[in-house]
Amino acid sequence: MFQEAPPSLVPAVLREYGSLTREALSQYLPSHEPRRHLYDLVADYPNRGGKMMRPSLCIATARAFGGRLEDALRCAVSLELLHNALLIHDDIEDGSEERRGLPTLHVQHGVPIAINVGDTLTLLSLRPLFENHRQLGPRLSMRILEETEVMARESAEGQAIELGWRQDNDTTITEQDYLLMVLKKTCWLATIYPSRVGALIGTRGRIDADRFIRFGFYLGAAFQIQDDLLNLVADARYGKERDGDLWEGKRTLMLVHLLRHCTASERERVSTTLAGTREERQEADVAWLRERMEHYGCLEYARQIAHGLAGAALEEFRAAYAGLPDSRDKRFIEGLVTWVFERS
Amino acid sequence: MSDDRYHLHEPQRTGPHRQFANILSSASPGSDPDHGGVDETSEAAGSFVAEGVRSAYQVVDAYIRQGQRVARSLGLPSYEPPVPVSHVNELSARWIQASSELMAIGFEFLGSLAESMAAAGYPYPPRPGRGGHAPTPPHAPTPPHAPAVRVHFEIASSRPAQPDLQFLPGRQTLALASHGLRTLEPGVPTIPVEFEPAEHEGCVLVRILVPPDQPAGLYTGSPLHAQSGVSVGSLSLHLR
Repeated sequence: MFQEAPPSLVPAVLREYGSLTREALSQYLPSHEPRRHLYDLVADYPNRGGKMMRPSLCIATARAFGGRLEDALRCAVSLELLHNALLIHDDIEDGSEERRGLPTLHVQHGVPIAINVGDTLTLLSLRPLFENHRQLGPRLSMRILEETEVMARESAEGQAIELGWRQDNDTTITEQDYLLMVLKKTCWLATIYPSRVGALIGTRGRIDADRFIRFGFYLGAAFQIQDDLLNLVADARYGKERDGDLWEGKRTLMLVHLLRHCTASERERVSTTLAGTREERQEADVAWLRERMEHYGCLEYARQIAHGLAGAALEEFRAAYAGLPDSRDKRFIEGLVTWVFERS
Repeated sequence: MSDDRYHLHEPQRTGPHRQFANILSSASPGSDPDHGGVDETSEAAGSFVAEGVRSAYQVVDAYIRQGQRVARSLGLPSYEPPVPVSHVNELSARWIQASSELMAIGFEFLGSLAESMAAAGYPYPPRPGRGGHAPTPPHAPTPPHAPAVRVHFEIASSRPAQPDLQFLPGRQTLALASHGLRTLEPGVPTIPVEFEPAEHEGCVLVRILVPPDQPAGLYTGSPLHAQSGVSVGSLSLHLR
């Protein structure tokens, strides 16, 4: 049976590795002109904080496989920079208004400036990867660049799938469609890539990185579903607008479940509500969607599925990390599975 | 022989156990059994969760298979199950690749080492010349990695004049002196040359005053290090 890591371990490691990553990341943020419309804003999202799960998972995996922290730090920095770049663009594409408790960048500074800042963060994320060759050598560095290209492409494909659903107002999405989208959009960047790259660094490239796809998928999917649930029950600590996903017409597991179980007339109303833009939606529409989700038990359903996926993640963790000696980093990675449900 | 043999019981299941609903039941603080109408019984909940997880397994299995097909069609290593390396050609190729990477790192290391030595004040290694090794002067005029010197000419001449100043490698300096510019023709007066560090850092002004009756020709001389007198290059003036 599953042995939980001490409850304090995951937050402690996230703080430790997160702090190291932030410190290293600051060295990659230019401080020269143009500052007002670019470099000051480039530092905005990274300075707002964040859970730092991605860089911490990368560092911990590298160390669990015998690598050194400093060998994984550049990849951790790159991950966080790219993550923040994608957040800026996601916020624009989703029409989100809040990020980490503050107005989103495009709300504050306009869409053109925000797009350019996101582009710049993407480019800045490449620099640490280029510098990897100093410590990791050209062969492994090139392999990591290839991994990065695959991850970025998968993320873009996942985002395209979700945006397409919204644009076409697709209400025929199945759970498998949803899970495939999450695999691409969320899991590659959040869990699969950090695990794969960490293991490659820890073993100096001597590992079959595909073993982390399953573990990363189940952990990342549980994380995403829990994130979507928090959006509906969030308090101030969550840092995003409550019910923001409903306002944005985002396709979540709860919505998929609702569409599958509601009556034909209700499905028609759901479709009509989702067809409009965020500005066209009314408070009453969002409240109705929310009420129907509760009526059909969509939240509890998604919660149960997320726990089921987390259980699968634990199974896959044991396979992917088999044979490694016990370590703080290994316990941290395992502890992430339950931490997904403990975070606010 | 005893007939009292131990028999294993038939296994209760022969496939993977994928009903994970209860594994994390203790770690689900947000779970509220009174909330919503799905979980009438834990058995029913386990059933739909198992179905959901099974869907997830199908999704990821199909995804990995598709990735492997794509990777094979493109000849990429990603998504490919590891193949045992036994082929001599494959090993040879990897050996050559590793050796070339090692050599590149070696050159990089030597370059860094030379820079470190230079920064620490060690003399620059002598460069092989036509007649063997050029001796390093006892008072080297410049450090080997001194910043490039920019040269401005100020020429007073009634004839069209084309100047040229070339420094020897590693001997660029602002502290210059000269005996003047001469031609091979006997009896032709020397053209005086003055050097003056300009206002801008790293820039030297070369002032050449050509007498009005100076004949045309190629005039050459050596710019010297002002303190040691060592030649640091060549200076020429082509008068038309």
